[in-house]
Amino acid sequence: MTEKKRKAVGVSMWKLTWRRFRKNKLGMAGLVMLCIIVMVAVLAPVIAPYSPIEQHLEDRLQPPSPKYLFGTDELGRDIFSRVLYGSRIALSVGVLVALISAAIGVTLGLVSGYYGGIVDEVIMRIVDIVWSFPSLILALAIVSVLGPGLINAMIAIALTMWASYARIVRGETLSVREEPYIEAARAIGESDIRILFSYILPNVMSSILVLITYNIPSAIIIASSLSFLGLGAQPPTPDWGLMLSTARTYLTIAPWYSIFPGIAIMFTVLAFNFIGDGLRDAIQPERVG
Amino acid sequence: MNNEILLKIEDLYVNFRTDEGIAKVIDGISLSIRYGEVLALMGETGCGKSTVAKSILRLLPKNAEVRGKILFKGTNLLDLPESELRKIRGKEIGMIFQEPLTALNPVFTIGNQMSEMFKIHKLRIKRTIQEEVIELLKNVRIPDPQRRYYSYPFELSGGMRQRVMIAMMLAGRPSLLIADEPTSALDVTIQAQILKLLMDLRNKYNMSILIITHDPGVVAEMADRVAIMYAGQIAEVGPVRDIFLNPQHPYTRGLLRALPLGHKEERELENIPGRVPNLINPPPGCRFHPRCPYAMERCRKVKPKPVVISDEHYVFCHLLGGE
Repeated sequence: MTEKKRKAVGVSMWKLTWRRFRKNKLGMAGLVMLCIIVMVAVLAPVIAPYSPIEQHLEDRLQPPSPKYLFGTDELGRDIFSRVLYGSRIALSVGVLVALISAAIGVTLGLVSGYYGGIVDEVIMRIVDIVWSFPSLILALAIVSVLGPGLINAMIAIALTMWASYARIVRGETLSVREEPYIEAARAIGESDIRILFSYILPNVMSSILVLITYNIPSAIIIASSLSFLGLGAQPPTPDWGLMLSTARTYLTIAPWYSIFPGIAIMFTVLAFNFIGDGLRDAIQPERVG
Repeated sequence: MNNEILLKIEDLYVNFRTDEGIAKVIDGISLSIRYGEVLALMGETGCGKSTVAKSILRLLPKNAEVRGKILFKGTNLLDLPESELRKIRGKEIGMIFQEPLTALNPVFTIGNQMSEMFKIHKLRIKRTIQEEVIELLKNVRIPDPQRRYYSYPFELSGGMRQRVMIAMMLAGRPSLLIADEPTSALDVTIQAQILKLLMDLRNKYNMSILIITHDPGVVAEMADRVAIMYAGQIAEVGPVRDIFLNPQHPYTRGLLRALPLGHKEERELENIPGRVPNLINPPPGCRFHPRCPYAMERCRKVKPKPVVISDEHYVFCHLLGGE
């Protein structure tokens, strides 16, 4: 059987989702924006005219000019180069945090929804506790225990975000668990572990995916906030939040210093949010199956 | 057909814990199926026929309490640890369901799901798994099986999906196939095809079939013997001809009189007065007594024991004697 023939027959749920997603203008705009960000992150060393930590003390706080496209900061570093390199940090923070929290939350949610009873009760009460704190405050508390730093900030954010995965996945598992194909799977001798990960997980995957695309920008914003407060990335890391934090001091004399990292954060967050909205609309309207 | 017993259910009781109380869904039933035999379990909705089927493979929800014995080739399935039971599910005992539309996992292709059977039970194969699967699809007369291997469940019709389910069950060459209302969700014409397919496969593989249905037509078409169930008890059991031509239990008679026969005589259909009892507080004795026109004092107190009518025909009714 050739791959060509296979395509002619099997129209998977993902293909149908992609077809609907393609018609969503904002979603596609988000996707294009994301492609730009990813390219910038990958090609940063090629595009950037200077190293992000290279200081030009004679050119401190210069306004944008052909020499320094976005101007320079208080140590004469090229803001353009720093913003470009910052995309690497933002993307990896966003994606890693979302994946770690999804891994924790999805597993707990599946177990909680499938087994029910006391296990469910315990997991859901922990979720309630986590949810009762605003995520930034909780992340702040965790980082202050772990100590400042980008890695610790990521761990802290992941520990605040898993709860939403757990709750959503639990809810979906509760309904998928009752589907006849789960009973049929048990009737052919599948084990609980296989039922959880090969039958229930793929059927709740679409919700998880939407949640991940929403959580990436939140993670980026919280990470930037932590850096802004001095608890995340430490100087001289070219982190957007950290840049904003220092730029604040020079807001009146060097407004470009805060504008460009700010725009970068906004652009990235918008890109993911557009994709998230598009994905949600493409998946929710009528589920195939 | 030989006379050895393949599956023997002895004194099965199933209770469900619910918020309103304990529902006594199955009230001590005993049944047996021989090698190669087709036994039908017939009764109205809610009489517990699916519960019996599911308790064989222990697929009941957690709030169910099962007592009794279910001996399959001499092993009590109710005592087996889960890991041992999994080896029997799908391999020794196959099961097909009422809802072919949703009994297949929507996110995987047919081929993918069917291959799973070979992997779970590590079945011995002569060719590649894909070829084995396509062979199975051919066996259940699915047109263009090479193409269907790559189809998703939602691309197939209900009848086609039921065929896929059946094909899947054949992979392990089970000695018993439990068919829980296999045709209730299908069109009449498709129903007939599926029933014929099941019979052909029964003959080809010499499987026993336990068919759960509320349709006397299906019973007449397929079964060697039939057990009539009412509210968790067995009313009457025997060869299909005997039961249909010579029903003894008042419930069986009522049930058959309520049946449109479809020929000339314009007979008014009768119904059985009263309602199916609440199983949380079921009537004591024979559970049919509140609706039975012949109910006696004894029926209200004592659960009837089987009365032999002929060779294999038993009735659970005080009217027909007994001590």
